[in-house]
Order: sequence, then C-alpha cells, then structure tokens
Amino acid sequence: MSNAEDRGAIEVGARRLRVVVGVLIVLIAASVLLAWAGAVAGRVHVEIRQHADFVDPRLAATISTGLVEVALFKLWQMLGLVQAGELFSRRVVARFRSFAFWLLLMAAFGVAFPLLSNAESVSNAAGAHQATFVISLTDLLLLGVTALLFLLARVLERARMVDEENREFV
Amino acid sequence: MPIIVRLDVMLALRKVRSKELAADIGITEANLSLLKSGKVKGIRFATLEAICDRLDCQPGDLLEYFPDNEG
Repeated sequence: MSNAEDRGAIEVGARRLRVVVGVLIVLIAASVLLAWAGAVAGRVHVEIRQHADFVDPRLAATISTGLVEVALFKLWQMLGLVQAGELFSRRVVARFRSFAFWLLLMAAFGVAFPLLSNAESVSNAAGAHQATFVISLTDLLLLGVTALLFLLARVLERARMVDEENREFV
Repeated sequence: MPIIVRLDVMLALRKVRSKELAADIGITEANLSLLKSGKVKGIRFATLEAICDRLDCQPGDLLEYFPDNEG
C-alpha cells in the first residue's frame, strides 16, 4: 500500500470512528438525562446503583458520565483532525493527550468515589471501628489502560517530531 | 551552514523556471524554494537525481562545501 493509499485509509477509518464516537456521546448524554428524569423508555430502563446514603447517586453517575463525555468529545475532535489529513500534528497529539487525561480522571473518580463514600458512611455510624474498601479488578484495569494512553500520547508526540523532521527533507 | 546550494545558478544557466522544475521533479514550489535558499535539513538522493537529470548537471554543480561558513 502506497503512502497516499495508507493516508486515505486512515482518514476513512477516522471518519467512521468519529461517527461512532459522536453517536456514543449523544446516547450517553441521553441516558443521563433519562436517568435524571427517572424515565423508562419502552424496554429500556435506566437505573443508578447506589453507593452511599450521604450523596445523590445520580450526581455521582452524572459526574462520572460527564468526565467520559468530555473525554469522548476530545477524541471526537482528534478524529476530526485526522479525518482532515493531520496525522502527527501538535493539535492531534494535544487532543489525544487531553482524551487520555479526562479518561484517567474518570477512572480515578470511579475508584476514589466508592472509597470516600464508604469511609464517610463508616465514620457516620456510631461505634464503628472497621472500614472495608473494595477495589474491583475492572477499576484497576481501567486505571492501567488510561495510564497506558498517556504513554501512547508521548509516543505520538515523538512520532510528530519525526514526521516534522521528515518534512524538512526534500 | 557549510553546504551552499547553487540551484538558482543552475536554473539560470539552463533557463528553467522554478515552477517548471518543481512540476517536473514532483516536489512543491515551496519545498524547491526552501531548497534553493538552503533552508532544508537534507535532500533525498531521488530528488537530487531528478534535478540533475532535468538540468543535465552533476550534484557538484548544485552543492558546494564551505567549511568556514557557519549560520
């Protein structure tokens, strides 16, 4: 596959992925709105799992989902730039790093919030001397994956520098 | 920069315009302009070969080395 064909395939792939991400952003936002409205839509029932009594679980879910939405929006922006032909530009790398950052925030919130809410509920109970913290493997995996994305962002930055240097050869 | 590019001299000698050369060898006018002014990091052999072929010259006619010429 020639360079031009390769670039064309990447741009097509970016456009398709951008459509998927765009649909995902809309669906997630819609599900959060439906959850706040306490709605049941046909066979789809939106519910929130409760972590603790002292905070509105919908708020926690909204914060978490909001962080995901911001991350996905950054990804959507990045894919738009790739679709336009930019592959290793500063803007693409910056958007990717931003995407990784918001995803990491979301993962950290997902791990920290149950811990904090559990600690709060234990300290509220009279005569309580024990606290149990549960961290699921999925949470750890998510943290690991988002940390890996940060590494990938650095690799992408290096690729950008190589690409820029390559352009200075005629 | 110790390497001086004499492409503009060769273009004048052969009476070829930059635009023509750029189109014939398959690089952009902007890149050719950068090459003429010596503001590139390097030149590929394929490009050098194409220029020599088009202008009927040798690489030595296009590039000169002045070790004391810095900046």
